[in-house]
Amino acid sequence: MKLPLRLLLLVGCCLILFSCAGNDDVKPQMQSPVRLSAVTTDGLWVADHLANRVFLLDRQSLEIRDSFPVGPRPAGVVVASGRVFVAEQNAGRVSVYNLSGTPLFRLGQGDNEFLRPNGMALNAASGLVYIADLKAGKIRVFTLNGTDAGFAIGSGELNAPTAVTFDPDRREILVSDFGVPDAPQVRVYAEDGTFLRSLPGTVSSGMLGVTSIFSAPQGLTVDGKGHLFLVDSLLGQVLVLDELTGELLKTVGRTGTGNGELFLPLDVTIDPGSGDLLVANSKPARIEVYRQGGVMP
Amino acid sequence: MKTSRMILLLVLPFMLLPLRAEALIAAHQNYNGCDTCHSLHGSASDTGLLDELSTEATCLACHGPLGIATEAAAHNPNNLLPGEVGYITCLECHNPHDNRTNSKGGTNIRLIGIEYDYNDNPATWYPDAAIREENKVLGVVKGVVFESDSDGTADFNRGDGLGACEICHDPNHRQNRDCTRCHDHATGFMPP
Repeated sequence: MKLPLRLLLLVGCCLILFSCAGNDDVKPQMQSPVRLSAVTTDGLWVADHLANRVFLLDRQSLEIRDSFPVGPRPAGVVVASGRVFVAEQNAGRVSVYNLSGTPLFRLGQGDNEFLRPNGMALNAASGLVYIADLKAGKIRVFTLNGTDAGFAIGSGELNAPTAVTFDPDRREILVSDFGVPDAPQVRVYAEDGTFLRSLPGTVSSGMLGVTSIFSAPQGLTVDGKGHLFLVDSLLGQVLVLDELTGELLKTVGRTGTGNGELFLPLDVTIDPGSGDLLVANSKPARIEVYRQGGVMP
Repeated sequence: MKTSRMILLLVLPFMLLPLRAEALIAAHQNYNGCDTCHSLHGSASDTGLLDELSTEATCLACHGPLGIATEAAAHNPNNLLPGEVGYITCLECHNPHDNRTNSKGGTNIRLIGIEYDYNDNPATWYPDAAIREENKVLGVVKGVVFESDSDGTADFNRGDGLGACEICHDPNHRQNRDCTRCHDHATGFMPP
């Protein structure tokens, strides 16, 4: 083979090798962060609905530390006992992975155990995980080893539950429900499924009919001091409500796509160490941080 | 004086009504009628009268990820954000107030088709005209047909340049196949 041809071949091989090495460095990026785990010492786990992955973000910098692929259209994500529970909406299942992304098992029968699994919450003290099944209109309850706990919450009462959280201090389960038409609400249940109270999204306001507090309730969390932090995806805000009465105390964020603005936010969590409020800002594909936003006077 | 006041009182409510009260698709009507998207009084938001951004949020609150209805995303190959130049909104293909038949006799169950262009003076009615923002850029308004006349399914790729996707994409790519079999609306029609 002639020298120029050899050189050309060599250059070609180098280019191919170089481009391959470059591809290895391309880390998956978030496309549509929808649900957040509780903040742990490991960091924050984020379910990405369009990337079909879960991401682990550094607790301080929120830089992506790790990620692994999961089933189609992930929704809720919960971390317990070194395992990551992921609701895989389009497969109608919740899969359980180890922290490296190795699949371990699935809740119940696996595929199609749920009609449309959405948000999830952990009751660590009782070893239970709650799954909002939007289409079934109830909260399913499973043990951490994947077996059905034998009862559901809100059957026949919930219309379209999107998200759920557990208040470990009050031992209550709070559910975001789009509700029957024009009646969005947060419904509160005891651990055994007994209905306790409703925090309505609309309240009567005399001659003008009703006043809307929230319209499209999604992810929610509590601060342990009687405050409920609720994301409204339509308003593009986090609403801080009195956990007992539902009174609107404060709003965080505003709709938009700029820094600090929310467009189709879907979940919220509080870093218990810093008091920072973290919001899954799905359309701009980022986690919004409100410093001390989770601290109420 | 009294009579004129009475007439004014009778006329005033009609003046406050929208100039065009178009029909509402049954699915939305059955949910909660106009109040599904609009709240004239006492709303926590400003969505009583929707601007482009809040319109998009209104659609996606139910139809976006983890919403309560069929999931869909606007075509957004360049990852633009709402409000940025070139961002395609739901309204460029869909009209939530329009459930009339299209010019080809389709049922228009997907809320696509007949549209007024209020920017024209007088307002122009474009039967089956969609993706009009892009058409305006191109300087052309095409009569796009989204639905089969027979079964009401969407016509994305008819092969005659009138399918929804053919406005911008090669009509010979998988001609007469439903584009959404591979390019899911839930992902903004992106490749699988």
